Amino acid sequence: MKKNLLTKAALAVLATAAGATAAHAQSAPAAPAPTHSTSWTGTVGEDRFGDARFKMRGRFQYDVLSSELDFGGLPTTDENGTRSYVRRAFLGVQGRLTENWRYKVDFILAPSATSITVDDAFLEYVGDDWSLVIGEHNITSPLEDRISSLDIPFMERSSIYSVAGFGRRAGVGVIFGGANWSASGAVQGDSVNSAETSFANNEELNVSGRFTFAPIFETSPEGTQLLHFGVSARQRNAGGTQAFTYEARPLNGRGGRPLSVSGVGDGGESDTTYGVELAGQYGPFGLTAEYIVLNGETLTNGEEFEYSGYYVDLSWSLTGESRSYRGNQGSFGAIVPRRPLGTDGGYGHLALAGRYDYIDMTDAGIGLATDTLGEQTAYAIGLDWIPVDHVRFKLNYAHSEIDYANPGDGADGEATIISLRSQFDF
Amino acid sequence: MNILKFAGVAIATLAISTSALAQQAFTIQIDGSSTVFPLAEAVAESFQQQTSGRVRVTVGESGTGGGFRKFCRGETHISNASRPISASEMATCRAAGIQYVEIPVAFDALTVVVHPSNPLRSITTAQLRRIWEPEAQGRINNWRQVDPSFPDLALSLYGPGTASGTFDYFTEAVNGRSRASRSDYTPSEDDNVIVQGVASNQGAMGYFGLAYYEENRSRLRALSVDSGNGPVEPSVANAENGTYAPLSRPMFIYINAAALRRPQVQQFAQYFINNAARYAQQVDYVPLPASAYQTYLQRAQRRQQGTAFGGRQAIGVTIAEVIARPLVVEPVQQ
Repeated sequence: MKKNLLTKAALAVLATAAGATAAHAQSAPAAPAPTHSTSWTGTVGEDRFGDARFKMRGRFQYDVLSSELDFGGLPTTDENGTRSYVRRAFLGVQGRLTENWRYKVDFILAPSATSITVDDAFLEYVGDDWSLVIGEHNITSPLEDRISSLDIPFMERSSIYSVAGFGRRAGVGVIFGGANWSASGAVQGDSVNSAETSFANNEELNVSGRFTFAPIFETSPEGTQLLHFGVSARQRNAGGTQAFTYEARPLNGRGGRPLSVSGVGDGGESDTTYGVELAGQYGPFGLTAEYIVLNGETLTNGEEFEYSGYYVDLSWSLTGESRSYRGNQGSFGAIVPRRPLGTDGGYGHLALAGRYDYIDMTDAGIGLATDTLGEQTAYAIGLDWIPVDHVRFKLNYAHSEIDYANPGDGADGEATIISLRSQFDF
Repeated sequence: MNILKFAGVAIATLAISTSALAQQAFTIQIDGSSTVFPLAEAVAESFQQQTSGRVRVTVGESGTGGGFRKFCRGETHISNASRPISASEMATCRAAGIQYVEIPVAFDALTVVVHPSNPLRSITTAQLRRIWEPEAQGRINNWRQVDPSFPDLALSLYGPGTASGTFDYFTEAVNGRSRASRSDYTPSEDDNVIVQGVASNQGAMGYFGLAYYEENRSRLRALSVDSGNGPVEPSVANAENGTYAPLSRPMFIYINAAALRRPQVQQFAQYFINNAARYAQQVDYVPLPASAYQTYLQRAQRRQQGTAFGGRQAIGVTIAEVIARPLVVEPVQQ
């Protein structure tokens, strides 16, 4: 029923917008015939024909990691080894049909899936200082999820993001933005990648919003000065029999998850998440901190639980660049080296970063044997090298300590991971 | 062991980078309009002499549009412009946290030139439009097609590229719509290429700022332009008295407002404004009245942000009108 209403609302919006465009087209003076051209403004040529644009896009992230994971006697096997794998391989397209109607689709080629999946996949209507987004998107996610996987400071996002399950879902969203603020809201269902096929079940429902404000935001060639605040909230309902899972890896992209609440019995039926964000930049020095708390109810017996977590990042650009902030979206973009490798004696962008990361999942569910509750405290240091725009290497060292809440889960665990990522995008 | 290795790499990298980041002289980066270039270059050279090399100034000429692209990415301190900042450039700058101080520095008489052997002395704005409008593409190839009294010569056209503010201004003033132009001409962001092309081709026509014509008088002929009140020749005097319309236009520098807090940039901005009249005359542009420069000096000192044009072109405005306009920070709707 809810989904039905949503679909109707979306169609109504589409119809109104299309009507407005048609009316405008009739009254516009006859323009000269558009000419076809190709523009190379970044790393890939963009085809242009009148107001229409089209270009290919892609990214490739290849990781090598060495891990020592001691899970402290849990059923999960310890993981000590050196491996390499493709963390992300996307190929996509981006463009605009008219000045206002735009689209973006990124197909996920790796991690491999049995069927084709997508990352961003949406149609967007762009107004003066707002845009309407229809499709798979994350425009209301908190700060770190709004930063592209190409531009996040460490190889993986902070642990609380995994626990709370931030990411893309399909639905309708709207974002308004000014020079130093943004406000967004979205109503979304399941991800289009979801394998749920039972039409007897209702779909997952997410209602979310985010507001950001930067009282200080000033950029010059010498760098950026920024003070950013953000708040976000999300309420979601699992719908059918599938319950939400809450789990995180020890700052790692692969392998076991020492803290995990999942399964039909203990998983969440519904939950509400609140987040606060603080970020700052003073020339080459950056700070980001987020705190997120999640209140939920289990599917089987409606038991309430609360999980929370936070992280604090500090970064220092040795080559002087500031992180690039986007005031109308409240997020960070790519860092472009001032002096790329091989030009003017430059060697690209080099930065050091440190992170403290904590999650609290001690609040008891009903304690099935498959669940492992506890706290995870982690720290990481990273060295980042961007020799030229669109090429990046990250060297990360991460150490996590896991403190289980139930003695039955075994001795406390520990994880140490050293990893190197090589990535490029176009 | 692993930790030790990692720490070793980190410390070595740090050491290399800090030693490589040895102190350098502060460099003010300027880019943008090739029309404003001769003026900015003259001011920059003199300023560097005055400060005996303590502050370096580099001036590029990638066109008004190309300059704003760099400026709104935070790559330059100052952007030269032969038209006001556009609404979309305002939005790009805004999202990147870039505020700017707009300083009109002089007026220019956008000059239409032909080969010196061409018997033509003047042209109407309607005839100019017949040559340059998009519909002329591939069709108007001989001077005689424009007007039967014109010489029977194959027409070959030279003009600024699409990143140029001169292109934006000329197309709007002549063809009625910014950036609407035939595209079968030889484009270049470097005005010297246009000079060279017109000077070496009997049937050629081109357009650029007055300074480039004055520098190449012996090789080119400037046409008087008739917009309904008789032919008026492009000159400093006619731009000043407002009769050379609609091709008289203001030229600007846009200064990054945060960078104006730096003493070097503030000092350069003040030097530019205080000496704009002198160097404008030297390179054959039209200086503004002294009182206007006084106002703009205060604007730079107080870092008053925004534009007086609301993201729109200013066709045919007089010097007095430019000075009288108030500053806004949001684009003004049509």
